[in-house]
Amino acid sequence: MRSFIQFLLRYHVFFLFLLLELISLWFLFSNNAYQRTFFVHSANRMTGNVLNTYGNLTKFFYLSEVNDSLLAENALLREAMMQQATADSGGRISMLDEHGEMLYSCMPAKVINNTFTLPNNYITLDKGSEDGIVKDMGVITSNGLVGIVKDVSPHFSVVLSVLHSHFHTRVAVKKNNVQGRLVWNGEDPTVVKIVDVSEPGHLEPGDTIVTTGYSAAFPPGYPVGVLKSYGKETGSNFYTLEVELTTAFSRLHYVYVVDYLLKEEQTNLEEESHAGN
Amino acid sequence: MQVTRWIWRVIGWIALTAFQVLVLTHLNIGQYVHPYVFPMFIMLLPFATPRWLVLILAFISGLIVDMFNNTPGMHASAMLVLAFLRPAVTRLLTPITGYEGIQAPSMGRLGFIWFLLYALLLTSIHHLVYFQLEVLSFSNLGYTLLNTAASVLFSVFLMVNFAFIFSGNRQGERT
Repeated sequence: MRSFIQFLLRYHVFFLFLLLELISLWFLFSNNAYQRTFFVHSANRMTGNVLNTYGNLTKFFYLSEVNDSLLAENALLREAMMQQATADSGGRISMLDEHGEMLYSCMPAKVINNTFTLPNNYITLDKGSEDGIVKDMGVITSNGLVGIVKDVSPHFSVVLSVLHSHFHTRVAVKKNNVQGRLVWNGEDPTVVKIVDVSEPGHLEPGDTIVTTGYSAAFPPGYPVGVLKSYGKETGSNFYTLEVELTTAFSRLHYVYVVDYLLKEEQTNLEEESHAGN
Repeated sequence: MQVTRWIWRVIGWIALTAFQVLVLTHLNIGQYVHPYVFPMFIMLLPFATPRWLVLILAFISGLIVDMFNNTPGMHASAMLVLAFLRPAVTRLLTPITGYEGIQAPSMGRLGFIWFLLYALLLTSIHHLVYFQLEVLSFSNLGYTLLNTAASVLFSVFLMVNFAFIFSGNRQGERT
């Protein structure tokens, strides 16, 4: 026993190194949402507040840029409002279906932390569970996709960006409804790929790419980007489409969190019929 | 005297971390350049700092950056490797006259070339571990290595600049 303690003392530095290294790798590989959100995530109170304060200090430098984008958005919203949407006093905007029933509700949120140059990017928003945000909600800008809410704390939430290797959603070419899976290859923050397209038909650069209604996170038919080029994968029968994103991730200041009001009904029904099989 | 020095160190640590997470991470220099300068705080600790303390400080400073960057444990792991290998690097770079009377790694006392090599070796270790953990696969090895090399050069460039400014300010204090 004594020699064992002596052994430990002699190599205490190495054992300490090993212990701490194991702890950090545990953080990295464990997928426990609680530990992620409350310990090493920017949604936690300390980092959230630091980022918020810093954002307020530097906000001034982006004012004209934000102004421009808000003006453009205002025009867009006014147009949409004339058609079918309504906005209440809290700034929530609702999208109605053709029978006047409310389907989606959007909540504005401010981006307080955003990376777009790393292989896996996250965005932190200044709204959290107290504002009604829950996991798996979609996040959009006025003209494109941003990501999906991953973790929520009372006042902040962390969004898995479109520019993340784990982000997948089904999208379609607007004009002929050719569908595929949207992925990002981790390099250019303005370009994504659509993979697994079996028969693209006749496409032209500049064709609009929109969301499909398959994921409850995003409203169907929402703009994603425009087609840049497309071609057959070498050694496969599938085509890959290169798409230029409409969302400018380098200038992301205000976003909308999408709440699909019929989500519960849809997932319940789907689960029921799966259970029936 | 010792206490003032440690207070300066803590201030330097906070400043470096703030610069890292608020400015440097968001700087879009190029696709391959993602510099990390906050490890400099661990590099500049006195030679006589107990090794367990260096490890714990490295772990904490890595975790703080992890919290801001949503990279659970990655920086902490890389910083621990850096802290663990620091004595080996100092031993490797021992000048002919030894470290007699020199308390901490500094450009002023050990010279530009010594500091450059020291920063280059330790930054390479840190960046190699970090970027490898970031992609978590060897499939894109070429891309990762290019990323690492470009980032190391830029990080070391920044560190050397900081060291210049720093040693200038504290010339009077040392004597």
